[in-house]
Amino acid sequence: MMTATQELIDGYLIRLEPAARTLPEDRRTELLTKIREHTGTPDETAVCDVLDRLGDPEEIAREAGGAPSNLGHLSSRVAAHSKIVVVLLLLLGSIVVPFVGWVVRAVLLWASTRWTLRQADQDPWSGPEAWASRSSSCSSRRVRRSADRSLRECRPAPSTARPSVCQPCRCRTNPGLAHIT
Amino acid sequence: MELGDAQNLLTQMRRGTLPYCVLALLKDDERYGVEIIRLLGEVDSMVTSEGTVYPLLARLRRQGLVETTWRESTTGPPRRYYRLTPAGDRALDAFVGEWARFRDGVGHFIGKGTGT
Repeated sequence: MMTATQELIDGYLIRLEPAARTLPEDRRTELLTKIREHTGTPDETAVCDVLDRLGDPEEIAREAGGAPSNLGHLSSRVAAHSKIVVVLLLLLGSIVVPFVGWVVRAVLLWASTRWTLRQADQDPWSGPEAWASRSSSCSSRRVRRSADRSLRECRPAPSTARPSVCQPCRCRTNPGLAHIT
Repeated sequence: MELGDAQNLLTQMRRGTLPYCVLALLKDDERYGVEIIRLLGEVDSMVTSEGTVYPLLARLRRQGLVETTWRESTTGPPRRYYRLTPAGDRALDAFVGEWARFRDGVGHFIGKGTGT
């Protein structure tokens, strides 16, 4: 029960922190400290009431001077930078990836049990380099595809990875937390 | 007037007057944050989001209208108490005079309009 209570408070603070990001350091710390103190350690029945009465974290941050327009401006700047990085990756990726791909293929082939030293003796041209050049178009496509996949995997983890986000109003509507209200 | 406009007007009026209500609460007594919020919350429609009172208190302190001291509490962790500064006292006095004039002015016209 106590865990659920603390989870609700943590969820609330997690919403408040990013909303207050545009505030100067000292003011942000002061605000977060006060709100944390205010929530205190209420019992299970009180926590939802306390959070509901505190109100929307974004509104509190706005009142403290953390203008959402600044945040929007910041995120649009980040978005602009991301676009530039993507364009550069698209331009340079085709130059860099084949070289990296060649090295990867060479290592894989050397390590492969299907290609033995005897084969290398019999046909020196069928060494890793030759294999690599023969399967060049196919492998590089594969490497490129896996590079694309790893690019996709580089995106920030979805927010669900964070601790569950508490919206005060959910206390009333979330059946999982109904026992608290 | 649409509902949205009415809400907006109420928000604006609250924003303009709430700081002085806080100063008035501290006129004769020093109080801690949760106590101030509780007293404001006892009057209907004064505060819709209690959390916004903390930024307001911080602003009043930056403006030099209130000052704070930490005090030990018998029931829990130390509390930050707020009290009026001389500047806060003057600001409250000035507002009280202006508010009376403004209220009478509005009441003059509204009273005529409603026939009371």
